[in-house]
Amino acid sequence: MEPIFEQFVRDLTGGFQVPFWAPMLVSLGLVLAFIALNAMFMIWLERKICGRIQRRMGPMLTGPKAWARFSMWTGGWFQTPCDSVKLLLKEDIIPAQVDRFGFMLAPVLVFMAALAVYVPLPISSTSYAQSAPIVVAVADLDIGLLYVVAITTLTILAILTAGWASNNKYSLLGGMRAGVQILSYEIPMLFALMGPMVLAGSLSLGDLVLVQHAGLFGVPLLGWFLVPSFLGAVVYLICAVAETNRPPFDMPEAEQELVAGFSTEYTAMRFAMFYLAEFSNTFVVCMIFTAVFLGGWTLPGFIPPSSLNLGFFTLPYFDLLAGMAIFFAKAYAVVLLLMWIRWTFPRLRPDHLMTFGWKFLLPLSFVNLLVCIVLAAIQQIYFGGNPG
Amino acid sequence: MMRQFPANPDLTVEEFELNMGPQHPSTHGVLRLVLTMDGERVVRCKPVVGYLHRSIEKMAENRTYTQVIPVTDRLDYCTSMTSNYVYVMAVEDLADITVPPRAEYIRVIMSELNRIASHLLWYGTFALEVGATTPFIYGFRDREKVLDLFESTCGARLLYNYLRIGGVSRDLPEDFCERMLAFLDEWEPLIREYEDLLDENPIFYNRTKKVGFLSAEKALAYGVSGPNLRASGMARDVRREHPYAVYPELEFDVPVRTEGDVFARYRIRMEELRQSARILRQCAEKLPGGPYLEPQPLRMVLPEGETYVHLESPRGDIGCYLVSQGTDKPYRCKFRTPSFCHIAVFQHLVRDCLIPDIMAICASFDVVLPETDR
Repeated sequence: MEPIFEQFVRDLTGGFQVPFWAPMLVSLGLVLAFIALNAMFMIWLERKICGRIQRRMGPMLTGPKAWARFSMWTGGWFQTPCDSVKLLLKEDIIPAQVDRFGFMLAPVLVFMAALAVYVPLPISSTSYAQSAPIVVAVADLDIGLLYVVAITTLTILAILTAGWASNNKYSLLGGMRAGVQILSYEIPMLFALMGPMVLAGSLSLGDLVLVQHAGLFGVPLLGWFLVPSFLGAVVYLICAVAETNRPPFDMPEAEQELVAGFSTEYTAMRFAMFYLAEFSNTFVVCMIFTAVFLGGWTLPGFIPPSSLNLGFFTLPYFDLLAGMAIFFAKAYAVVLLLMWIRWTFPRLRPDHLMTFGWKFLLPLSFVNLLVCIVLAAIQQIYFGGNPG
Repeated sequence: MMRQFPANPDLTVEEFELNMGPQHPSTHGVLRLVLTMDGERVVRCKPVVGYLHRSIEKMAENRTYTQVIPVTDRLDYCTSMTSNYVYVMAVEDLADITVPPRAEYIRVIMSELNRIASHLLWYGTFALEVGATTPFIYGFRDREKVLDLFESTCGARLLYNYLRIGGVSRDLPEDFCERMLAFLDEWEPLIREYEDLLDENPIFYNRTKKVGFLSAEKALAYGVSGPNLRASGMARDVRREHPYAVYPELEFDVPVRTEGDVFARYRIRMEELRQSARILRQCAEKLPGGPYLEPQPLRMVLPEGETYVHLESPRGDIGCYLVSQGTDKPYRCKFRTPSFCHIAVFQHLVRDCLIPDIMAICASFDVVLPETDR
């Protein structure tokens, strides 16, 4: 964020030097706004997709009537804002018997984790034809991938806290299930991500994308880690869905079994925090998948110019904008895949989930790692250096 | 019960009680299960029924024979027609009334349509209990079309009050058979669609196969009936064993499976949907003309005596024991409902299961609480 922001302000004001804290504040604001708006859109989209799969129309009554008349995809646009306002205005109930500190801490913790995970996610860069492209991220950490995995685990800590503090047996069971789930899925997920790490020789998400663009064995499309590390991609996606507690892995909040699981006792804004964090985490998963396996903001054989001449107007930062558009298009494609899975699958049973995680996904991720090591070695020996 | 924690003898592990219901998203009404749990594992399960008791049997004793019919609607809100039917059949048996053939056919059509509606509702809720949301909508979408047929016949969509002593309250609408056949043509291929959503899904398969096994002996001992009994390998069907109405003239199979698990109970109901459609097609073909009702006095007096009749409701063997003392009101009207037996046996099946299995097993029995409590 810093270099891009500084350059942007310099360009705009003609040489103004921004104070060191400005980029941080701006990126915090941007991420917060993004989480809220994107979650709203995703919830709307989810309900529409769900409606389409179930042969109904989803929300249609809120928003401009004229739009709703046009097609099911244009109706009900104001549904999520209305729901959010409703959640904001609801009474905040803290049951008498709960552990107040933990009960109040959990939603904050879960949201904190959801917020912090955005730090290393790269959404675009200045033209990557240059030798040193500047990556657009809050901060392109050198250990980005490790950071992301570490932070997302915090969510489970919050859910465990919520389950314990709620003083409700259903909540406790939900929290425990979440704990079990993360134990079974964190490890295969890490191993699945190690494939791309080996191939790229870096943990920085920005580097991962640039390496993928460079291609494997000199072939650009092969470079998308989805291809050499296909098993890893599958394992990662399954584990990531499990980690965000989305169906079919929503045992911690399985309605038919545990009422609402860990969030049973939560109301109003505290509940909204869990909800928001869940959707935010889902999108983060899709973003990571895009960056690690789908080549991030790049397309094979396409390098956008740094500015686009539209004749009457020259669009600056075109490389940045095109990158973002490509990145979000890919991320939303993954979101759609997750939604499709969500609305067609029954829920797993906790013990099946563990069997699946330990006995199937973990060996699979080892195989993937092995394949990636071999490919990286071939690349090293015959094509010189890491793919990048 | 306390026991020591294996890894650390200083710690003890304690079982805890989980009170599931009466207000719980998936207890199908107001069933309360008092579960003794060891973590996620069920040690004991004690079902508590009675939250929906409306003293229907007592109410029946204070109403004339005709007035009882709308009360029987409330026995089982998913299949009002068969509840109507069993009561009306008991009265007719006691009063020795012969029902016109057209009325018999109409009654069979209504029972089978109601079976379809009930099984579709079951399919939706069962899938919902194992965590799949989409089948729920599919089931309800098509149930709606059955309800439309009912609505055009008797004006009601849930509590029909359609059958009368001696026939049915009104004739079928003129185009009923065409509309019914059109519905069947459109809907029968959709059964395949329901199955596609669940059958070969490994998650569903793992969650239902070898879960909630019910042996034939135990099923018989507890009076389990209907699809649940047939899933345990017993080819018992009242429509076959004690044929009533026009069932002897109709061709249909009684699907049987031997596994006795949740999956078998699911498959049986899916097969029954097809068989019901088959029966309906034959009925539409054979439906005779003539009167639809043998009119009876509004305040009819039955001769002294008692009778027990039973028939095959979507849930199983529903019976009505009717005692008359020669007045215009039943002296005793006792209903034998299948769901009650199913809840009784259900508590033995969930032992050592996990919480998600409770839902799957409970749903697979197609328990309807108003019928249990009466």
